Amino acid sequence: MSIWGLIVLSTYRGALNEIRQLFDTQLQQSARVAARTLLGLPDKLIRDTKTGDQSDVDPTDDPQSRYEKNLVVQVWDADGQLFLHSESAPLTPLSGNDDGFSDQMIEGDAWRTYSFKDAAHGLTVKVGEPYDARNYLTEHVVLQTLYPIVLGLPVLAVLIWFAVGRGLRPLRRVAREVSRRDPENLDTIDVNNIPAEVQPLIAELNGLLQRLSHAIDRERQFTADAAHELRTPLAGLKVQAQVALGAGARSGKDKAIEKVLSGVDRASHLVDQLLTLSRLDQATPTGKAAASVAAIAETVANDVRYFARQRDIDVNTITRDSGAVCGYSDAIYIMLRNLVDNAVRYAPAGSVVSLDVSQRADTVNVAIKDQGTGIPLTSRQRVFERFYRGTNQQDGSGLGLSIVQRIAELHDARVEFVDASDGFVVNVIFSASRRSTVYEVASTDHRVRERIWPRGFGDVAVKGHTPPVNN
Amino acid sequence: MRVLIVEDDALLGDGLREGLQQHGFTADWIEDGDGALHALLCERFDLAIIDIGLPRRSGISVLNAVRNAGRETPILMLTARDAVDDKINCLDAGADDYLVKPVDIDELAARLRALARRHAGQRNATLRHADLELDPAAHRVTVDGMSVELSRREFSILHALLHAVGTVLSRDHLEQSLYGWNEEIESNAVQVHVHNLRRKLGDNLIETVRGVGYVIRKQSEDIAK
Repeated sequence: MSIWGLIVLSTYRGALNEIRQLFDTQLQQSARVAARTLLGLPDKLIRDTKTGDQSDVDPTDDPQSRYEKNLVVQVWDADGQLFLHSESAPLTPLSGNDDGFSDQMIEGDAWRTYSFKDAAHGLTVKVGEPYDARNYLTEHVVLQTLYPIVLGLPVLAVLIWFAVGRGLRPLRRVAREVSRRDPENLDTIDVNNIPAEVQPLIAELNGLLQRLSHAIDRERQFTADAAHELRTPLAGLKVQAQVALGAGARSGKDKAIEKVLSGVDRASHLVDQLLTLSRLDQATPTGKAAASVAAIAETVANDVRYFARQRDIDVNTITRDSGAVCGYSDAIYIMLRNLVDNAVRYAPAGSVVSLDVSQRADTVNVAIKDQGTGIPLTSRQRVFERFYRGTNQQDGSGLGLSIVQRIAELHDARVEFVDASDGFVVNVIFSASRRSTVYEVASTDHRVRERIWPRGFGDVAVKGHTPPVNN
Repeated sequence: MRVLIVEDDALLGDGLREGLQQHGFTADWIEDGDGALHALLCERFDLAIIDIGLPRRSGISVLNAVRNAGRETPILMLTARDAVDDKINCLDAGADDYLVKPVDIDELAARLRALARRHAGQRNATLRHADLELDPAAHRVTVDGMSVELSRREFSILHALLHAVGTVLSRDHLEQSLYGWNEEIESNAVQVHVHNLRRKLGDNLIETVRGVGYVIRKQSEDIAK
């Protein structure tokens, strides 16, 4: 509205100005024409006219008739005598100055006057126009200009209203559709009938909805898979407990109850792996710190050594360099621990599992080697899938390698399988930290280790093994 | 009753075997599908419990192979998945029953007995013959209402003979139904047990068919319904 008002105002003033100038120019020209005309007459005629009648000057005639004789002319001589004038001109000078335009009040009316001196003849010509007529004409013209604009506003407003409404309708439809959605519904939004300007926005929104939908599906699938995975350990526990109840001999009872205990440990381990995986899913690459892969590898080896020894397996570490990387020590511990546990589980009794940490130009490499047969080529792609179990795995959770892969992703590290002449090697390749050599040796909190690997886990890795009495 | 348990989880498989043994079954446990198929086709099992989720060869695949080979052995499937579609697939593939883990061993035993009964065309759990009654669930034998003490092996043989009433069972068959893989068969064991049964229950019950085996003849008014 205000913009429209400003437009109207400026149009009005502009029009006024234009017309005023028009009139002034006309006046000016009239003066010159008058002068030339009059002065072109023979002297006699001019003087005669001077003594002629002086009709009443009645500037209060209605503007219409005024318009017809709206020009008055006075010609003054060098002595200041009115020497020639038009019929309706007053007898007093029209204006005070003798050169140019001015506004005068003459007998109660406003006049616009123009004077110029004709030096050659020593005469001053004054012409004048009453404002009444001028104003009338001005307003008339201006108003005519304004009518369309004024009338146009409501019409324009209505039209704009409709057009915008029409344009916004698809958006409103989209908004309604989205508001009606419950959180479960992540279908994409219909992209037909949407104005081109908004299409990129809706396209991006649909992309986001799809990604969200996939993420939620993955979550649901994971939860369902996890629940199913837990059913088997629970089934084992229940049956063993019933066996314990039904056993006549004390030895039968004891055996069954021991199996229940080791089953609980296994189930707990599975739950811990699930939690780890779930936390890793949410982890973001912030909060990394300097970590020494060699130190972590030493810790892993120490923790595993006791259980490995019960299978008559030695765990060695070879650390040539400190292997500084930027990452999460806990997560790196979990990753290496999973890999070493696998190695111990599948290595033949009496063999050696080794961890080799070395640093090359810009990579830190951890090689975990066991003397078993390793993962068959056909399975190497699938082993990283959650809950995937190879042909031999029955004590594992099926999650170890998924966790390893996720942690590797978080650290921009690669995991590779290599067949060696006397065994199987898993390589984890980190990019070396570019920080200065001054770093803290970040070793893992022992509480973390205890929580993730309860004492009993190592027992389960060995079928038929009796747990140690003292730990 | 000899039952084969096919389950890859050590804790569960071991527990099922022990539990079913406690319930009077002769139970054997195997961990993979290929071995299970071989055992079911080559040896005599009265029942089988197969876990669907086996490595290498799936439980359903074993089931299909057994049925395709024409074996009617009653089979109960075990699984961790409880979706209706999975159940339908199993039953349509030829399974006789379906249980979702975790299972109750008592329920499992009862269902196995029901499967065996159905397989023999019996409705009533208790096997009757003249004034002899055998209750498989309670492991009790009564004659004229009076309880008779039988050893586990004796009970098994009597059960097998009553269950297959009218059919001659060879000594081999009876041996197989008594002994699992982990047990040694004593020579003449079946003979000894039959002798004991005759002593406890009367000479007329179990008939020897020379060169073939043993049988309990049908009694017209005592055919189990």
